[in-house]
Amino acid sequence: MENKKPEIPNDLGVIRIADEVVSTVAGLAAIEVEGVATMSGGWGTDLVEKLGKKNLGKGIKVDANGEQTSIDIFIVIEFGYSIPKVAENVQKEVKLAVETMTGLTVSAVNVHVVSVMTKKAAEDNEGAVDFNVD
Amino acid sequence: MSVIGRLVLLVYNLILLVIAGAVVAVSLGWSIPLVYFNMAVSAPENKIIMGTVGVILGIIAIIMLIWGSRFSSHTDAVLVEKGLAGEVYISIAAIKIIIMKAVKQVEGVKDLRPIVSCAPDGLRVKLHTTINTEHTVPELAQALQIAVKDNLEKIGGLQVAEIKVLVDDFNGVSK
Repeated sequence: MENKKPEIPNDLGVIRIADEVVSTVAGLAAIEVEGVATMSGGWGTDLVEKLGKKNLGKGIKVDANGEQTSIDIFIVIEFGYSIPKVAENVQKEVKLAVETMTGLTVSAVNVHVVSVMTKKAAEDNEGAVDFNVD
Repeated sequence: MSVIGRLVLLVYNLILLVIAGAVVAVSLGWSIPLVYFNMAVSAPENKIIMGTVGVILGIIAIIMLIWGSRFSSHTDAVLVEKGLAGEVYISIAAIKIIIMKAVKQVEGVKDLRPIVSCAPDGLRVKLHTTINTEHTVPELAQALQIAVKDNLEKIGGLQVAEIKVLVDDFNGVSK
């Protein structure tokens, strides 16, 4: 089934917002939340980022269908913070930012915590694991 | 990855295995695969079929590459919360890191290999450990269970059903 992209009609025409725009807004809102160490976008995105292309929508998957937009966010959380609390804050901030900036209705913000890392590891950008995890 | 995706990957890997076997056999002097290959590309119709197969395999490879590069590590996850705002998942890898951090708080553990599975009543954790000889197993095992349970509940907001501690080896024991 093909997803119908959301449209905002006005007197002059129709405004269509690309998924990439929603991803960028959501990514910027999520990374600002206290306790979020970094976004997780898979090795392909990480490789491209290492080559110098900054991707602000990294780790964000947008599913826009008609009036409803659902967002999946893949994040790495800083060790020591309560994951449910950080995830809740991410949901609130992302929903608020996307709805305010784009005018779209966000039906769900699903948070996927893919790893946990210390602040130092996040700053060094060395990856999430300082242990050997199977 | 979906069931269809896994099936495609399986078929693709089997084809690669056959091709690899043929290449190795030819390099070792067995010429029959080469004869079959020459036969396959001898007629124009066969060339079209071979070319089509090559293009299909190439497309599958590119699709697999794109799938692998996007959100590939997010399949094994535990649902923590489901509310009006959406769902919150924690990956098994993240849970293992929380466990490892918790175990670091307990003295006497030389090595640890956690196995995490999800059950309807909560997480089931198996801790394969190597411990130092100066610690007693029951005390250390209990300390591990408390530390891991506390961290998983406090940091992860996860419900823990069971924590099994298995002492695989003692550090410092000469064999």
